[in-house]
Amino acid sequence: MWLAVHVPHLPLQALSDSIQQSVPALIFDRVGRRDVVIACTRIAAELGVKPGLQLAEAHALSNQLVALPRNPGRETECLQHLANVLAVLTPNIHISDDFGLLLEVGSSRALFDGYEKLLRNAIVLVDAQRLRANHVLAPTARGARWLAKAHRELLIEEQIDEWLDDLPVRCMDIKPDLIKALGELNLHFLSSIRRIETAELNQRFGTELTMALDHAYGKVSWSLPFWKPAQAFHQYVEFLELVTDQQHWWPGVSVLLHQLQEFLRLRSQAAISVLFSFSNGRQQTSQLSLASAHGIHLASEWLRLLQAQLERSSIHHEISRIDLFCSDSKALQVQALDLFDQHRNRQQIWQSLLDLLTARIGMQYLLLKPRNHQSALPESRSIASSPPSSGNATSLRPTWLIDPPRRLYGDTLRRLRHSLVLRQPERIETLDGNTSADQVNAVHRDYYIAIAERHSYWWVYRERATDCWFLQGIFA
Amino acid sequence: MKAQFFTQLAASHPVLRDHVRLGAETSTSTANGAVSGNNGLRGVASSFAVLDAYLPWQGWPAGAMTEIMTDASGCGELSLLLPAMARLTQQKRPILCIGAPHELFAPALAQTGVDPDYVTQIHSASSSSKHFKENLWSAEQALRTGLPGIVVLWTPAHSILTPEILRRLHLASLAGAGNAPAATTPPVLIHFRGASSMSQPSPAWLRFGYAADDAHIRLQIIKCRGRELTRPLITLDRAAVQARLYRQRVASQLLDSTVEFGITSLPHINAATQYASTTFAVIAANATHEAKEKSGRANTQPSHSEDQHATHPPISTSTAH
Repeated sequence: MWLAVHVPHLPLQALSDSIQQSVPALIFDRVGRRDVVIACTRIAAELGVKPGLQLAEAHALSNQLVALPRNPGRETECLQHLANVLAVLTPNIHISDDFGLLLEVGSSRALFDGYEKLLRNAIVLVDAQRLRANHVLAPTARGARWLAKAHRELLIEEQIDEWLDDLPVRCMDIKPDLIKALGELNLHFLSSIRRIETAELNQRFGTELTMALDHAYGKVSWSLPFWKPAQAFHQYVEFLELVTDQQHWWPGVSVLLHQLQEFLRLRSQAAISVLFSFSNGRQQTSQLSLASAHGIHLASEWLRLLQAQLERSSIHHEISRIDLFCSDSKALQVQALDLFDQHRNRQQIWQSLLDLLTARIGMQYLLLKPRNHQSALPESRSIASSPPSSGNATSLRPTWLIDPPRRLYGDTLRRLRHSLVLRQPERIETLDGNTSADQVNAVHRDYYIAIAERHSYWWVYRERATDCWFLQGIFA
Repeated sequence: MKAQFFTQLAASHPVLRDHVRLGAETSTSTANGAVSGNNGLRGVASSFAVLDAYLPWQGWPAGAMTEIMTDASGCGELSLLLPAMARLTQQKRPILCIGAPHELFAPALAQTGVDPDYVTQIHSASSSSKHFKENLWSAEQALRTGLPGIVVLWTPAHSILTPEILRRLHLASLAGAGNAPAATTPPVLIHFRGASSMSQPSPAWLRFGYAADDAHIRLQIIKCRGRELTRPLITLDRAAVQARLYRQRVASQLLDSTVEFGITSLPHINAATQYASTTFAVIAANATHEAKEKSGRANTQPSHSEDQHATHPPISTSTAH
């Protein structure tokens, strides 16, 4: 069983809903050597614009018209977005650029308790995307496709032949020349074509027509390549005019993030990081990246983080387009949604707080835990994750770390050398290899504790190779 | 009748409601170190007996701001907080250090019982005005969640904190107390400020000046909600606050003097090395069993001197005037 979702006027429907509802816009395409209107909004139609008009003629009707060139890429993205949404019905989806979607739903019948409920679900999902579409559920893919061009909504579980016989020839997806030739022979419906012998049809029109009929009537199976859902998310919004105020472009960001939320929901994933790109036509681009250590799947959470980051670094140039990328995601942990596990919920709130702090102040200033430092020898060792056990006497370490170590000179150094607490230093050296390079890079340090000004205790060391003294830590 | 009169009197005005103490003073403590002091005030035990005995919360006030005012840095002021931090990380409560003058060193934290995995630092070693504002914002956000065990905030001595800023921090602490998960103590906000701010008013519940010399740490109490305004001076033995450091120092001096007076006195060397090794065991044992000792003290509240000997036997002293 196949569900055909036909999206008529796709060039127009690929535009945002707000443009369709409030802007006198038209879509034009190059036909021969002329720009011809192929679709227009309701407001433009009220001004007298209609498909088939030349662009110059349309402009003569009104100077308020917004003319947009046809963008096949945008139409494909619209269908891919719709496929993402309908992936909850079946993973087997074929995208046809000039038609819409074909979904193989035979194996989903039991899941949705019958084809009728499945069809209802599909209609609800498509309507939620604010797209106008025809839905036909039929035993063959090509038959469903042809019927969807003529019917708004139809469910045929068997006996598709009678429905197809009544279809006009123009609903077939064959070459226009062939349709014209059939019309010249007074063959206006499929039933009239089927009365002719197959051999005669093949002789007169080639095998394309008979093959198409065989596919539609289920005599021969029709193999279709299925769409593979993208693993990475990329969507964008464009503005008709350059915008500067955040309040003007913020709704576009919200739309993008809700699309991302839907993308993640269908995959049961949470995004680890997202990247916003704010650009205009003058090669000015600003990028903002947001990250979440535990992953976020809700648009509202990402909006909160974006708001926090914009308070730190705002966009200073005009914007005509916003792109949203997300390639880093992980599986959403369903068990994390346990309402009764207070400890886990606490962890989630804490992680959300850390995400918020990271967004606002930047990752470089947020240290999740005291780091290891490669520049200082004692710190390059692994951190003890648990407190030392009783009786395990480890060397004393300062609570404050000075990194990089501060060189000590002059009077400070003289005073310190006379106030060393430990006469016996702790010697730390690296002698890991036998090569000459290892010998050169080897470090030999003697660590002391010294009493400094204001009765503070310093952790200092003497570099044995250079006899220089450095401050490495403070016992606060 | 008398009790009813005082209840009505206390309820008649917000100031009286805050300052009139009703009923008998009671205090309870739990095994996890969370202490409920007078009138149900909650605190986190500092593990310094003198301090805990003086403060109405039996420790650092939870769900409120504490201001420690000092111009000295690196004189044991952080060690004053480490026992409480250690206890809270053992309870898996996160610790947030904001605007610290330097970076915290994980091995040192681990040595004092603080689990570094639960410690988060923000804007270490940075004191620009932009970071200063973000530090305050971060502290406010963290406090409002009610999740951190302690938020330690450092503001530079030269920075100007308006009453509105302090008020916001204080309100965030109170909000955190409301949002804190059940059966956990609200966040403790410890705010390190410059000594010049001692003369400025603040909504903090506990304010004291901090000064240290080689032997003592002196806490000049400026404000302590729930106590009379006598401005007492609490003196702690610095060797108690920075126990590991001072014990190693003593051990080293003993070893030096032993070596200096001749190798023939072998028993002295043995005594010195034995002392050096056993001190660590004593400290670790103190840290491990502190909670048990604390719970043991819960039912019978001892006097100051008894209490200090219970936690730090040889090294804690107390004077107040």
